[in-house]
Amino acid sequence: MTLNPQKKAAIAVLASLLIVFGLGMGVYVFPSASNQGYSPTQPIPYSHKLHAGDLKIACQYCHVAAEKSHHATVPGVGICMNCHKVVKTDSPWIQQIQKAYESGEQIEWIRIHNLPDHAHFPHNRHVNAGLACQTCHGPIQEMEKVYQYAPLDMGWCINCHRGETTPGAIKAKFSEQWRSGPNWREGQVAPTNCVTCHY
Amino acid sequence: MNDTPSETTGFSPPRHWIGPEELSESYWSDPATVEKRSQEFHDKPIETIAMIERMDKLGVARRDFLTLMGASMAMAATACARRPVTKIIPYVVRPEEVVPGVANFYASTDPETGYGLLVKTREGRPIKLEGNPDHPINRGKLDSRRQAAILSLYDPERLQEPGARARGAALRKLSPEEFDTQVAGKLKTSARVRLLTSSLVSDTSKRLVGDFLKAFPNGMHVEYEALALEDVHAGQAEAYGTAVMPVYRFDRADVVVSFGADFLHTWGPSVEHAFDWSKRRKLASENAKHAPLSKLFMVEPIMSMTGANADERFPVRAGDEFKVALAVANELILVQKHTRFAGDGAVAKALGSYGVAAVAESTGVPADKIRAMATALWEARGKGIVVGGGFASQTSNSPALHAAINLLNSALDNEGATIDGSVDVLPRASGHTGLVRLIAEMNAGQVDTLIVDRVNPSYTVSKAFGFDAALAQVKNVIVLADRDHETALNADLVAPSSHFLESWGDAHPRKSVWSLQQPTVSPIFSSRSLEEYLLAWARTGKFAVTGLAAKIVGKEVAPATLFPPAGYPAAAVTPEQKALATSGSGYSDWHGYLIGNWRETLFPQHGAGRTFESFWDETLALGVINTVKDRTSARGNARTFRSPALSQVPAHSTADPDTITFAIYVKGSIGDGSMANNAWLQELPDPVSTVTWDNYLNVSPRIAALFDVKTHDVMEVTLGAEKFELPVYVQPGHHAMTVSVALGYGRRAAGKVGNGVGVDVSGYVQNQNGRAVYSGQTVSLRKTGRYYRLAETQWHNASENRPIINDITIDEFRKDPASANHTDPHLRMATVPSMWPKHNYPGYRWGMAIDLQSCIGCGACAIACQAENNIPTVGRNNVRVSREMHWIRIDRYYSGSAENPNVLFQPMLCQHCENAPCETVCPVLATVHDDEGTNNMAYNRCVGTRYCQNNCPYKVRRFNFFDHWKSYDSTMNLAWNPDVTVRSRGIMEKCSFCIQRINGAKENAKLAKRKLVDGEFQTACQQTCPSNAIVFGDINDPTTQVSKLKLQDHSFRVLEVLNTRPAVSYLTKVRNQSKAPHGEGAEHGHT
Repeated sequence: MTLNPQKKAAIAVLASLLIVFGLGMGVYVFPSASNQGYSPTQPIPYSHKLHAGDLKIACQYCHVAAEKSHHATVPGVGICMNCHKVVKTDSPWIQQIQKAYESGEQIEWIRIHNLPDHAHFPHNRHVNAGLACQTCHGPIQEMEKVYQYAPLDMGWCINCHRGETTPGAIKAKFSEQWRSGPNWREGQVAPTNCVTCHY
Repeated sequence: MNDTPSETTGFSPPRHWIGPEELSESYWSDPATVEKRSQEFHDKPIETIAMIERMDKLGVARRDFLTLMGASMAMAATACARRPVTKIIPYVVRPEEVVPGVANFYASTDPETGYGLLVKTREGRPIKLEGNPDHPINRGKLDSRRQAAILSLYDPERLQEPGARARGAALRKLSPEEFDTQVAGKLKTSARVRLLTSSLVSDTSKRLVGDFLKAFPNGMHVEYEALALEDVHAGQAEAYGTAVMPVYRFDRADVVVSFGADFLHTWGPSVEHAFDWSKRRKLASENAKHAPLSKLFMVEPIMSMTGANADERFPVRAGDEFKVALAVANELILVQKHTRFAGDGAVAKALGSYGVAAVAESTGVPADKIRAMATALWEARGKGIVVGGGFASQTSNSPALHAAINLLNSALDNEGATIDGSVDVLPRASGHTGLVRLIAEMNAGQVDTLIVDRVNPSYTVSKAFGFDAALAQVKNVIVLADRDHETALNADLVAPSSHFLESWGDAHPRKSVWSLQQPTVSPIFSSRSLEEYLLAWARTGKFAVTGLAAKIVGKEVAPATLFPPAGYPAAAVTPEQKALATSGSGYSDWHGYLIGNWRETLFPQHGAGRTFESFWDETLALGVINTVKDRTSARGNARTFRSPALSQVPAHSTADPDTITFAIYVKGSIGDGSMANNAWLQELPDPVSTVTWDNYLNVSPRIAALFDVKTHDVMEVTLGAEKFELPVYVQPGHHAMTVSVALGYGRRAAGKVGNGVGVDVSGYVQNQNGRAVYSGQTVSLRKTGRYYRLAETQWHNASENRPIINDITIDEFRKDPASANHTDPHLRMATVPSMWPKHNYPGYRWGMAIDLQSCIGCGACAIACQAENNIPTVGRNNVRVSREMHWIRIDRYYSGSAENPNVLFQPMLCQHCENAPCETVCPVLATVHDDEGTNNMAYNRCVGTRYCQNNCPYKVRRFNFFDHWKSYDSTMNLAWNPDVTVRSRGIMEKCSFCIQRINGAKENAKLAKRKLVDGEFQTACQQTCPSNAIVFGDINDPTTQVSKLKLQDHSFRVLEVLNTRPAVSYLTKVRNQSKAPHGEGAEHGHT
């Protein structure tokens, strides 16, 4: 079928519009891979500023498994009740927690920091290496409402593994260990091969 | 015939071949074959689907690719494109021992086999079963059925709640209380109660059953086991007065002769047998000159897995095995006048007509081979074992067979040396004897209530025994089952049986061994174990139970204290739990009974110096009490052979050589069919035939030629008045005039996965005066002309006659262990230049050595891998087009003649090549090599080019053509291993050397600030292999076991000529034969 020049031009314009529209939709639909800044409203407005900041409760008092397991875990209501059996029992939020404890109904928190299934992040290795929780989670002790501080995308992780954004103390401790490994670069503090996280 | 090239064309068939087709010249020159062999997948999906559509009346639903394109348009319409909101939901009160993300291991026991288990649990549910290394029977190993049991736990088609029905009609749901009330009501009006269960291996359960039945004027416990080796027990009773199955110490045996007993796979405690037998097969090239190697002779009608591992094998007609055994005895006792039976008149009389020449004539086993067996056994007297039996050999001649075997063992002084009859392995004297008596009672209307627990006689018992007809005469039939199976359909009341991973229990599988079974997850559905039901009914109906049961039931335990457990908020009880508690028998009644029994019986014997609490806790943690250092007692427990057993021996006769004999056998993966709904087991290729998903008629090449049939052609079998049809499989090595079919198929009420798979042949088991006779009937065959494509896997990875594998004889090994490599120079090319720079392995370097001497082909590794790595099943149609997903497969090769070949198994998995052909062709670098020697898959990068799969010479890469993970229905999703990514459509996957275990172990070592120790962790395949064929470890460390194996002279790597430098090496198979393949010997006087 032969096309006259007008028809050809029309098709070219239509095609490029479609492509631009498609790319635009793509960018709109997937603006970025990361959830940086994500700060959903939780069922109970728990304040880290109050508990971790003012009261200086240690992170791992509640996030118990961070040292032992890949997951840091969110505390069960039982841990809240350690104090809130007696503390501020007049608050309606505390009463909600108490009700949950007594009825056995779990509190469904909205998950903020999440990685896709194909990426495994082991909390225990990072915590045991001496990294402060704030390195990746930001100034949690100042957050009234928790937001995702870091992009948590692969590039951000790799930058730290390569020693570019690593806190100084960690860098000092680990930077020589990987010298003989493959693709070593100056200042690397942790493995960068694929299977470290993707398996 | 095999190695001499054809004079005219120079054609030599391959030394190792996959099927008899490869032996003919026309196969290799046929252009269609050449074209097919050069493809990655031999069967094009379009053609195969067309063929399947012609074959199935119902047709096959084809994928409509256009709909897939339509679906993707919907994506653009979503607004607000953050990732979907996910919740994170913690425990209310976290159980102290559960740390989310950290696995807990609990010791338990499998009640069917008595094997010790270590159950790996995550967040309160089991995800993987391993053997308990401290258990003396299985010593840390499990077979394929035990590895697959985890999937059966989560089967959504399990019966979920109790119900009542009019027999044969639909089930009406009942609550647990209603069910208990109805049962108690029925029992109240019953004087004659029968409880039909499988063999109870638990002393405590037996005690409770006794306590319970005493409440009824005429209560009796009947045990029935579908696969009981009743001929063995009967034979032992005749010969020695004790109906036991003795412990066979294969690790003490220099010579083993088996008459049909598939002891490595389906006969007795096969994991124990494989572990022991393989100890005597391992060879080290350092002491090659005097390397000892045991010898296995096999005389059998079918090609069983054990027969495939035999050094010398002789096919005989089903039912003729005993003749060869008697001929061996004749030669030893009458001719060579050895043994203390030499002057015994009764023995002489029985053996008289079974001279070697006469038997060679009647069976086709060459006379010199029979004499060789006799000589070998005599030279190894006291260090040999003769075994026999099994279903293919359970003919009307079984009594004679076992009399002959027991005579031989006694005569050779094996009895008491390698055979310990004072220990009964798995007391399974529960064949048809008790059942026949029960059926007679039922028929006479003498049974008021029959309670059936965890057996399925309406399916497993042959019609010839009339179980279903008798069932109709019973007033009340109550069935406890894991699913609404064939027997449950004939019941009045049905209730779910808890899986063994959900129940308390114990086991006393043999003398001196006691183990505990503990639940590792709360019952997923509304189920209870038999014992819990009995106690519930005792409580509900206030029956006058005795003993310890009375004590438990008499306790007024307020239901509220049963749930919740201490420390939990008072009202945190689900309605189901409440129902169970208020029905009278909560979780703790049976638990209390178990503890009570142990306190009374075992604690006094074994708990000296400890409090009961610490005795209980320590035993629960270890899993087992084993009071002997050596599994069997000291030598010298020889029983005396009773010559009257030989009165069972008939006069020697010869079958008409033109008759075709029928045999029934059992597959290790499917067994009695109770796990037919387990897709992992259905899709596990049979070790010998490599067929998945169906049973088939095994025929010899001779019968195939006689009837002009090939594999996949459908034949009709006429057995007496019965006819049935099924597809043919041409099995090299099968006895020429015998055909065989496997049990456990053709289920009608197993579930979506198992229903209608294969043909049910349990109906053709014969009833000879109450004795089940499985094989030996005469049949006639007819070709129907129809075609049914079996889903067999061996052809899927056929190489273009490349030198994949090799084997040598023991003499060649002793002369020069590296001789295998000389016979085929392609197998070892030590210095091949490489154009790639050498990899650097500064830390660990992972490698694997697989001993082909030890690999018996059972496939437990494949199931363990499937469980560990979230490998999906794909279904029959996809297997037909080579899309099965197993990361490790067992390739099976033959060598020699098609009539009686040698068989060779080779586990094939990703070789983790240093110069991996797959790594260089991935356009997106989804597969890379790491600094520890493993080839890694980054699943998220893979775009599905499949170039890597194309390039892999070992054909070990598996591609997800579809979203197979979606086939995991509801509760099955609990079976996933959370440490391994679940792959979706379009992703390539392959063996990762269990990288999640490597990473986990390295993590633990790093946190403890030390290096890994050899054997600290194992890959899943290595961990479960019953014969210890797979060894994995750090090859940078010369002291590890794997490093030493790689230095063996007879170690080789597959396709080394391609310079892939695989990390996996194999130890050449060494056969205890005096010359090259015994195929040549089969030409003498063969039927």
